[in-house]
Amino acid sequence: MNTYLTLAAILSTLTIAGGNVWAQPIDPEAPIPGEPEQPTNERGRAPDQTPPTAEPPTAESSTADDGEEMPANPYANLSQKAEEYGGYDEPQEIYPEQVSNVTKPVAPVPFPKMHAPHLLAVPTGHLLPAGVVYGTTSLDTGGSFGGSLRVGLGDVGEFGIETSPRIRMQRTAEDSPDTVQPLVLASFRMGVGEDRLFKHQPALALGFRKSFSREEFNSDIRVAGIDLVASKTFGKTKLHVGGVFWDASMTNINSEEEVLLHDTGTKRQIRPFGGIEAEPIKNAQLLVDLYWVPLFSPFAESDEDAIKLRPTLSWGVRYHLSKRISFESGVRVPDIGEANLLDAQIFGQLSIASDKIRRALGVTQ
Amino acid sequence: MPIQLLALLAVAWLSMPTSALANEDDSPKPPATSPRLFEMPVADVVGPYQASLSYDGSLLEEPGILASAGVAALGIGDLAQVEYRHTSAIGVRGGNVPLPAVGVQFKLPFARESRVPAIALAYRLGVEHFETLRGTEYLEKATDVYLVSRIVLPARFNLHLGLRMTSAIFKSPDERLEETLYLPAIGITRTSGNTTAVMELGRAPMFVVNADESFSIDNGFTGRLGLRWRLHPNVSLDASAGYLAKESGVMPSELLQWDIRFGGEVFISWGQLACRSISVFCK
Repeated sequence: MNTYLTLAAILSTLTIAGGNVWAQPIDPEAPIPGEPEQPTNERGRAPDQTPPTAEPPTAESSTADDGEEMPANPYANLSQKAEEYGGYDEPQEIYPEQVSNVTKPVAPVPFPKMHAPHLLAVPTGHLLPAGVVYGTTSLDTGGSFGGSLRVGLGDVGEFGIETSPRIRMQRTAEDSPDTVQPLVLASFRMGVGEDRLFKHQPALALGFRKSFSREEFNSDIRVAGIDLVASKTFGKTKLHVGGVFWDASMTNINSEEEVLLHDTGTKRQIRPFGGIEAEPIKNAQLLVDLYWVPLFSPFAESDEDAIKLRPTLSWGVRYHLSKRISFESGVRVPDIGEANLLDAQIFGQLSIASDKIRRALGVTQ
Repeated sequence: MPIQLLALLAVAWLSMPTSALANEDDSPKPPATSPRLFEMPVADVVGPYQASLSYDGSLLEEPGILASAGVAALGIGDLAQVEYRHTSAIGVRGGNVPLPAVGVQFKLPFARESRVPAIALAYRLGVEHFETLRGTEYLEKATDVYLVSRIVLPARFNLHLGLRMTSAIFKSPDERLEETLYLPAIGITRTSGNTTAVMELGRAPMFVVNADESFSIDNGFTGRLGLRWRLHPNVSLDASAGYLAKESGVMPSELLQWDIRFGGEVFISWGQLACRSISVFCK
């Protein structure tokens, strides 16, 4: 099952990249694949390129149908010049009639300015631009994978599906917690970008996510959470601060006994989180974040111990291979509260963004 | 508490200045008007020679069950529409069930641009819907008379107020129950560019089966907060987070009763189609 999902996540991220991810140059200023190229005439030259001439263009000029002034006919003296080399077929007149029929160059739509909607574990206050599809695929040394696919809605919203490697279950008292996989969550976020309301206003996002039901170790588990996060840029550093409000349920399939996180008190559901993003060199960032996620313990005797929130610390780097592709790698300590570094995992994550839907929709704002 | 929470979030969201949202430029005007917010019907009819198909769905509310809301509406002139709609209700399994209904809606003839509130009256004949709980099949049905108004407020706000008079029928193999309920609803929208923020709160019939197998029809509560993004004059996308409360005094901490819905709406100019295909309605 995990293999299929990993494959599906990888395929989805490759698909949104248009299948030519690896053909992209590292240079962020490189031409965007799939965007309209400079139109050429039938000889393969762009219309504004001066064709090779034996003589410099004369001072004569002509006017195209649309009134645009065209360069003088550069082929005017070619016949005479060709005679010196034994002659050749009379060239067809291509200027100015054919050139005037060439479609005018279309200015390429630039890839929208975009901030990543997440650090390593925490969400940020930044939302995807309208129509931009963003996918991630991650794998860690424990064999856990994660993936997400989300789309920006109207510059103020975001809808997505994800599977997280961070939510865990401790099956028995002797076992170490394992990742619950795959636990698929849907998410919806709304918010505003930085400086949109007033100067120095941080980017704000209110997100809600909820999992589908997942059967694990004779238990049906579900999680849901609301997070509110603010992100502010200070020069080459970004600060992300927020709070998350979790709820979770675990139902024993045999006895139908249900444990609910919200039955153990609201204080046990709310946790602060935050992270720092620094860009010491261009296209490379250092990331550190702290997040809280539910840990399920079916063997626990009390409800308080059966579902509890545990802090996850992650640190690593993000390298932007291009405007659309970035690679993240780092270390994740699933429960920093236990200070157990043996559970730490090294992970890699590939993130790919695509504006193909945005361009298809004609969103240019 | 969930009402206060939703209201707080909605006020924070809807009170944002226009500059925070999308630009106003180049927003193509839709050829037709949506006949709903997310679940709440609105006073505007879809429009002459226009049809609207919309659907929002989610698998998150209850495991394995698709919670949804959809409307198919056919505009007849500026003042009426016939429709097939899923009306809001809370079913015996505790989830939001789409009760089907066919109906007709009439709107008073005030210009949309005027400051006079739009007012509409709809009659929706309930279609039987069945749900199974603990091996017993229950029939749920609701027939509505619905009065709804839209009031234009400053800064591109619209306030929608509705009152749903429902004759709800709840039937098991052994027993039949019928109740008349008065269910108010309120919605606020704010449009900026091609994005509309939507918040709606409303009461809905709630079909309850107690532990002793007795049953009743009560008032439930539903709320949604989200946005509608118009991709094209004829196509829009919806995304929203919603909440349903099965009983009064439910704490907002019960996030497991929330869901996320994603859907969309397509407008079809049936007048143009009819003109091109059979040369009627061409004028």
